[in-house]
Amino acid sequence: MKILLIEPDKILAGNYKDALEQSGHNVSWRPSAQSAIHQADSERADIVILELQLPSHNGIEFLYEFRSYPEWQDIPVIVLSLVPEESVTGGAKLFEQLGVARFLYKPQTKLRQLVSVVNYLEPAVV
Amino acid sequence: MTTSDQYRDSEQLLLALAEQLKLPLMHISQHIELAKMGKEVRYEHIESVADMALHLIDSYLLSRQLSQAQAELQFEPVSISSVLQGAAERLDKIAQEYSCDIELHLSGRYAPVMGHRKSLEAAMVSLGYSFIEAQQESGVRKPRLVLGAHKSRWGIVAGTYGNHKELTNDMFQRAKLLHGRARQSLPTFGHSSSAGIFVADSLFAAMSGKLHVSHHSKLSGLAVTLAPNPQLILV
Repeated sequence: MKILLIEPDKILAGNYKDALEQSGHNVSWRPSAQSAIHQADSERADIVILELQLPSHNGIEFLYEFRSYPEWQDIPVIVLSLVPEESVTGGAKLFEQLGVARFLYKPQTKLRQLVSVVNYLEPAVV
Repeated sequence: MTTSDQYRDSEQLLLALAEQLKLPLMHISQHIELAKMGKEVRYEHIESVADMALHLIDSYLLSRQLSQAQAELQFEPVSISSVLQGAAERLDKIAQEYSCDIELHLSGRYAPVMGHRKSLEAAMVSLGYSFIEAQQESGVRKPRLVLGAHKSRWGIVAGTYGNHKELTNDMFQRAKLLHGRARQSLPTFGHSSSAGIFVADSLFAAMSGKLHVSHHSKLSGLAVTLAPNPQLILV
């Protein structure tokens, strides 16, 4: 599957990329929301993995923009964040509205757990 | 500053530090997990992120000891050039991990300043670490960190600089009010809690210095202005 990974930390991004590519996925990494929108525009992703704490625009703003385009509304998004779900205003309800397939708290998510979640998710039908 | 203000400040700094330390600990944990999955163990990386995490903890503790007057500041004549050189050496490994070039900009001779060498160097390293971490996200192809000093009418301005044109004094002052309460008190600077900056600010404050936004060689950064003491040249 083609995965768009939005992760500001270069080292963590490299680790996620290694683990996901070992499992046969194709990962494009972008460090910010703006560069991720450009990437999504140039190549459709099957799954998006998103950190909420991003430089300049945060992940929620990215999600609102991403979901505003009809062609991206059905792409599964996994939130993988340093921010716990309960700390986000609106919490689980907001993420449900924004079509977040899974919320993973990054410090307590092992690489193999992330790979399992990605393998389990079906890509959107185009 | 009252005792309750000091306590609140200390608590906010600790919260920012705790948020910041998640990153190096995740780096270490994930590298070990990748090694178990058959990838090559990157010992150099594990060592450099662990060293930097320990440095941040030590700098935080030092700032708390100084602000609570548990440790008496032994001021001594300090060479700014030597402090920046020492900080650059300590940042070298972590900069390599983030593919960031470190440059030392020292223009001419500076008179010695009265300061606490250990705290000055700890503050510069903490600042540099935050800048290295933040620059990876700026989209700059070749990130660079400049540790520089220049003379101004108020004294010797020494600090760390990078490609952060958006950094302003207003933004920095707001971030100081927000740190420990907001997860990203400097959102246009980087994605983390930027704890290194606030630890450095706290260390400079303990030495009656004030961290401020500064410009150097067309770069923006954070620096402290130290008054040179010409008499020390004769010591």
